[in-house]
Amino acid sequence: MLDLLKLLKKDEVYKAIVPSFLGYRYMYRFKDLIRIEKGKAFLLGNEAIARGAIEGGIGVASAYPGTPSSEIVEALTTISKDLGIYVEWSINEKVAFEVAFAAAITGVRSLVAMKHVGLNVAADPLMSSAYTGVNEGFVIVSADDPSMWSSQNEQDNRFYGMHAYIPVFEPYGPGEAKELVKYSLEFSSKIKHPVIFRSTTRISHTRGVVDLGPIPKSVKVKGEFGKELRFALVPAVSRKNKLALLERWRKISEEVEHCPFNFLEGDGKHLIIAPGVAYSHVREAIQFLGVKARILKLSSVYPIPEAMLLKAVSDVDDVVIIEELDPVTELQVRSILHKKNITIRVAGKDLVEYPYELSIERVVEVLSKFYNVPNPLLQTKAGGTKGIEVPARPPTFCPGCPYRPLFFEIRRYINREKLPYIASGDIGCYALSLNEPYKLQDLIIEMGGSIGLANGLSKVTDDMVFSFIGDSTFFHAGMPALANAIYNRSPQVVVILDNQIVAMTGHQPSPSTVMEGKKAIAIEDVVKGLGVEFIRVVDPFEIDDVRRSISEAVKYVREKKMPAVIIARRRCALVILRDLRRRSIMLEPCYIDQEKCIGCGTCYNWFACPAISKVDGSNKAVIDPSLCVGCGSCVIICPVNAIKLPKGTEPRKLKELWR
Amino acid sequence: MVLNIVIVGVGGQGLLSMAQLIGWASVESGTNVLVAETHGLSQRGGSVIVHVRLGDASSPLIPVGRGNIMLALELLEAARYVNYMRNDGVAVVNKKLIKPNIPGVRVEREENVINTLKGTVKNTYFIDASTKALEEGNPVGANMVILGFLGNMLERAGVLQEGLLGKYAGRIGRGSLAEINSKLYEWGYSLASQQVSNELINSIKSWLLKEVP
Repeated sequence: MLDLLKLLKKDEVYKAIVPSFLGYRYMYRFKDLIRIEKGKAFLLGNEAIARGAIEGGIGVASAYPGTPSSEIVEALTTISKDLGIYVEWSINEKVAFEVAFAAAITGVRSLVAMKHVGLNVAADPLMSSAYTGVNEGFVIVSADDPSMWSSQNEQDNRFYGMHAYIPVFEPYGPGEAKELVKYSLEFSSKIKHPVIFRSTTRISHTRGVVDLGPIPKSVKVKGEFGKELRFALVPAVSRKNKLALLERWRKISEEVEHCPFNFLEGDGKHLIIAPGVAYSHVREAIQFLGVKARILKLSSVYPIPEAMLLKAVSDVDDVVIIEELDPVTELQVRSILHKKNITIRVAGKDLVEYPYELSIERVVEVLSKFYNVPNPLLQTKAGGTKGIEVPARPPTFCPGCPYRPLFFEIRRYINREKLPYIASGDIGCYALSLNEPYKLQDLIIEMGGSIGLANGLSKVTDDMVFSFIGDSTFFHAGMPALANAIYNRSPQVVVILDNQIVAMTGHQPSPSTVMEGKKAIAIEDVVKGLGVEFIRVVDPFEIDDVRRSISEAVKYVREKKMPAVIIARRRCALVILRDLRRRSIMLEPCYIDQEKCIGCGTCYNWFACPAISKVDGSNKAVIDPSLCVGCGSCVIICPVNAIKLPKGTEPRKLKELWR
Repeated sequence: MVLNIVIVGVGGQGLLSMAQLIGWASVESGTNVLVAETHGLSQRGGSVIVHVRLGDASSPLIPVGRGNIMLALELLEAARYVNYMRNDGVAVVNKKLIKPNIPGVRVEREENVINTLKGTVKNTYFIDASTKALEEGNPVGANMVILGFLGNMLERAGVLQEGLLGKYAGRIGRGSLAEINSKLYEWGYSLASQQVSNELINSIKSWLLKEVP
């Protein structure tokens, strides 16, 4: 038995020491590991980042959720009580930044995490933080999303380092991520300067083996604010700070020369420079190609270590820079070589294309051109889907989602009224109503953009403008836009979809989430306080109420030329299902009475729940019992009452359970 | 020395749990592992691929054409991602077709999909996992059946320690759900012990000896 096990082992046996009280060794949650100080654990990249932060002695962490960053602070919330540290979900990235920055200037180590576009929201304090510096380690985690798996763009946030005079560190995998976060905290603490830790989707959302280290017994969670003048950025102070900043930058440039996560390996007359995740692909690509290479692996991606680069290029014939997205490393390399009058062939973005994430295939292709050797991957591609056509499968609202009946009814209202309209959309699950059959997201630009854009659209077009925004997104960046809409009298129907959670990113609390220790905010109170006169709160499962409210709101907006607000409130289906599971309740699926069904297609073409589909060879509908969650929201939409609750289910009883 | 496992299906079918369980069992068996997940938008009923790499991998992503084993929870997704597979690989496919949620969508006939898969990957196994799961009382338990099938193959190939993966599968869910999951796992496990030849197990072993997958 296990005859091949030895072959798969790299250098050593992965022996993790996980508490025996768990009764099993490897199935653990992040929080089960806080008393474990050595051994190996299987962790998500974001959990590794969180682990690095607590091993590095943070006293404060904050974040606004956003894929692919969310699990970092998610993990930290599970251990904050045990470790006595302060962790919060903030209202947006700017406030999250300010919370953690405030800790760092009073001498408490801190971390703030956000997705790449979140750093745009926090860019204002980010720029200033370089001018003030900090008094203890301050790490800003930017989780970038090359290939835009879950984002509106793939901006390369290494540029923020360049823009703000803030060093940027980047790991190549989950194991290194943990160590590098710790190092980044130390680095920041030593120089007294903020540090950006950049992760990418393929680091944050890759699970791997991580070496555990000790967690400090006690960490500083209370600081002292010394009221130094450098923290009050009036022009006279900022001018002085700029000089101090440049002095720190000189130290930073020296210090990265000693960063142990930058290194040179391998032999050969060709140098491959591989920053961050690129290194993980390069290592395998050269095996596929069977070529020798000298590799300069970089984790200090801005600034890069100048002396190390000069040493690396000293005895090679040429250089190729393999980097994802923008030529941030290439710009630095070319600049240094030019400054030193070194003429050597340098390839980079002329071979590695700009868009999307890297893969082994892409790197193999580039290196096969660079080395002028055949590409072994091209010939071995499997047949793919030849002969048959596989339709796209866009993501959709979950069965039981409160947004489905809402968008179904609004679409029906708009079609019946032949209403000229613009649907101004936003960031959240409701963005999925972009697709057929709802098609109610004509624009999706950025957080809070729905109401903001509607401010302009309602002034320059005569269409009825609908803004769709979720509860958390409303608190994040929708409130100022709504205040603007009221003050400047912008006629629009604002639909706030209040599922009382940040659903898309994995159910973090929103200010409308009722939970212990938090003061929940009712959106109708906020809206009323801002001065909105037309406010309706509706249950999206009650589609008659939805239609009535929309119709009244449209009338009000037309007459008064002012914004009207509809709050559609019902909890996320996944949260309801989780609660039911905890109570060991499993709802029976609904079914379609085949005798009654007239095959009109309202349910599968317009309501479009994934559990309902058209029967092959007829127009009748059928419910897949393995997909139906038994919420019953489809029952009301059938014109001939052919959709039935499971036998023995009282509608009133279901309403009590599914809420 | 890398074994590449491609897990595909529809968001919500429990693909991430499968990958995590394989990861846990691998680490405990002494095998290094990397799992690249898909989160966010693609979890909402969209098309999902999870890359699981056992052994010396440093990149989290499986190159196209280099997958050794495919675990598919849905037929169309198996067809969509079949180009990740080696022609001599193994595909374990749940015989379940979920139509994409697009009005008026045109979908291939089930047998055409099955024939394409058979024609592309040398060793294919089609299993009525969803039907079995529904019968046993866990509508989303098909993943446990497929996992059981894999568990048997990897144990026989000496990649996983005996009994580990099954032990973990039986800890997913509360109370009776955990029991059902365990039962489903065992069902898949026994199918593989009947259907997968020793010859194929020897092939899996030989793949592990290669420098690159």
